[in-house]
Amino acid sequence: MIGLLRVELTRLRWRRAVLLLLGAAVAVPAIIFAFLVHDTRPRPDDFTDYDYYYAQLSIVQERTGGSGIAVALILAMLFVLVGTTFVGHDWNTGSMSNQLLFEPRRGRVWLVKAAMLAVVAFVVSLVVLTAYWSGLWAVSVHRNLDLPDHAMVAAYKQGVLGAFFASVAAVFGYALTMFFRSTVATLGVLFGIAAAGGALVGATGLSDHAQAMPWTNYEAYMVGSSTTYDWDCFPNDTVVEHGACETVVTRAESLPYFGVILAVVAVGSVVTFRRRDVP
Amino acid sequence: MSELVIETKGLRKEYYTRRGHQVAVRDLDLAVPAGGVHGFLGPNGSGKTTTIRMLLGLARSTAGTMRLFGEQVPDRLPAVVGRVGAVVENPKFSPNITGRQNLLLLSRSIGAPDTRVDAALETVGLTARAKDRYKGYSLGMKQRLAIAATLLKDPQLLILDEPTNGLDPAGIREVRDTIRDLGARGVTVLLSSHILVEVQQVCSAATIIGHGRLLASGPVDELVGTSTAYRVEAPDPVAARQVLGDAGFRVGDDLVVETDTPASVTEALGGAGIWLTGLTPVRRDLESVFLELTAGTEMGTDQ
Repeated sequence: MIGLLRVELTRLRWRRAVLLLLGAAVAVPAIIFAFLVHDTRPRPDDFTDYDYYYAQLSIVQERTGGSGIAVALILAMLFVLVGTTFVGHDWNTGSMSNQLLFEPRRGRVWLVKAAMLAVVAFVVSLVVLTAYWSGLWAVSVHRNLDLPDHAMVAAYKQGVLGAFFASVAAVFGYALTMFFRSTVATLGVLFGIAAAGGALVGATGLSDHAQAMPWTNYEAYMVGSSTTYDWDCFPNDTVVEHGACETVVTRAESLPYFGVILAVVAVGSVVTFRRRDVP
Repeated sequence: MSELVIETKGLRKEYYTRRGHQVAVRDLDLAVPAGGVHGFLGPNGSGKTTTIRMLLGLARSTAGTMRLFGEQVPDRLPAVVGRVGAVVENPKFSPNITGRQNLLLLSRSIGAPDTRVDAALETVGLTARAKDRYKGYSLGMKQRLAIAATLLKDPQLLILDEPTNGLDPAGIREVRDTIRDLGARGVTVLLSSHILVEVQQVCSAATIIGHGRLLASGPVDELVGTSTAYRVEAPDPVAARQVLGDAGFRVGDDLVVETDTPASVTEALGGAGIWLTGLTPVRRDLESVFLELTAGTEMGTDQ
């Protein structure tokens, strides 16, 4: 098993498209970091307090609603592409059948590739996110900004959560491509869902349920909870009871949401890979 | 009877496509004994590739049983796959890495040392181009790399599906020599090919299928049969035909006579004062046997 994992890691390293995506996984957060540091730079004295207040770097703010969750989301999206590109190449060239002539246990083949992708995505994302938060910490110290107690612990914890999410995303992209047997088909389906998914959710009435929305669940997972408001609920000129018109999704509630999606895709992928003829 | 390396019984493969229900392989009984080169013949679409793919676990059978080295496949395929090398249809490798890197990925997946890759590349004459990207290889080089991949396992059974496809005459000869050499070394080779002359040259036995059914199987000499026809050459063919006809011989076109005793032809013509300039046995070849057996078989594409 370890030998096969090493082989898959080598296969990943020798795939140029994957290396480009891994490069992007480092470069994009670095660019976001650079812009953030630049935009929050100390201002001249003639700036108003109001402007300065909003331009000041805040690790807490970046973690709860700023660049932190955005960077983790970008990493997750890139690792969906890594997962789909990595194995889509095998299907496209037909080399999957060659691999099966040497290791015919298809369940094992599926699992080893998934495990390797999960580990690579987790490690790379953890390194990038840790570097990101450490960089922001260094800038904050350099600028003599106040850091609340445990702010960095919470940031690093979010880094671990983000790395785990990227890991799941990589397996998700991989499993979908093992099902469709084509990178193009997988990306087509994902774009289709992204484009028409909103309309579909609206048509089915699911948009009224915050628990069903991907972003709400993602935010809840990364930050700890996510609150959505039902604006139709607020009567004019009347103060409503606290919490009456809002829905809170917690991290604990978001885990089954993503878990079920991953489980359905993974099980479908493994079952079809084991049963269908390989070209 | 020697041990069977490949054995199928009632093997069947059905597809459901947009064109409806199709049967690629129909209740095929295949028996390949250990040792030698065994030809596997059939027109396009006759089910050869499908049969091979089922044996190798790439396609699922609809019915029937398959055994490799006596082990039931696909269930026990992991136990025997290390003894089986195969090239199925076209070579399939990653185009953006080198030939050597492609082989390294395969050899490491079975825990073989990297030195075996270099040895396999040398066997097929690709050492000089080993560090070139696969996409830059000619078709012949790709075929040779595929054969090199089969050698990584040091196989006891080689299954080669059209291994000379797209090769030039020199390449075909190289592959033929390699196959013959492997057969001589005790490796059992199942050779699927359209080139019947090639099969007749290297194969000791053959199986012919059509429409997914077994049409004939056995040693090539038995399939071709013993010659009972002879072509007569004489200075006066018209007179020779007359004499042979009078002597009770069946004389066909081109003065071909059917007889079990060619000496009687000499005797009859000599008695009439006609002296032979030639008496040549007319042998059927595998191609004519193949065409007789597969007559009426529609040509399609292998599925």
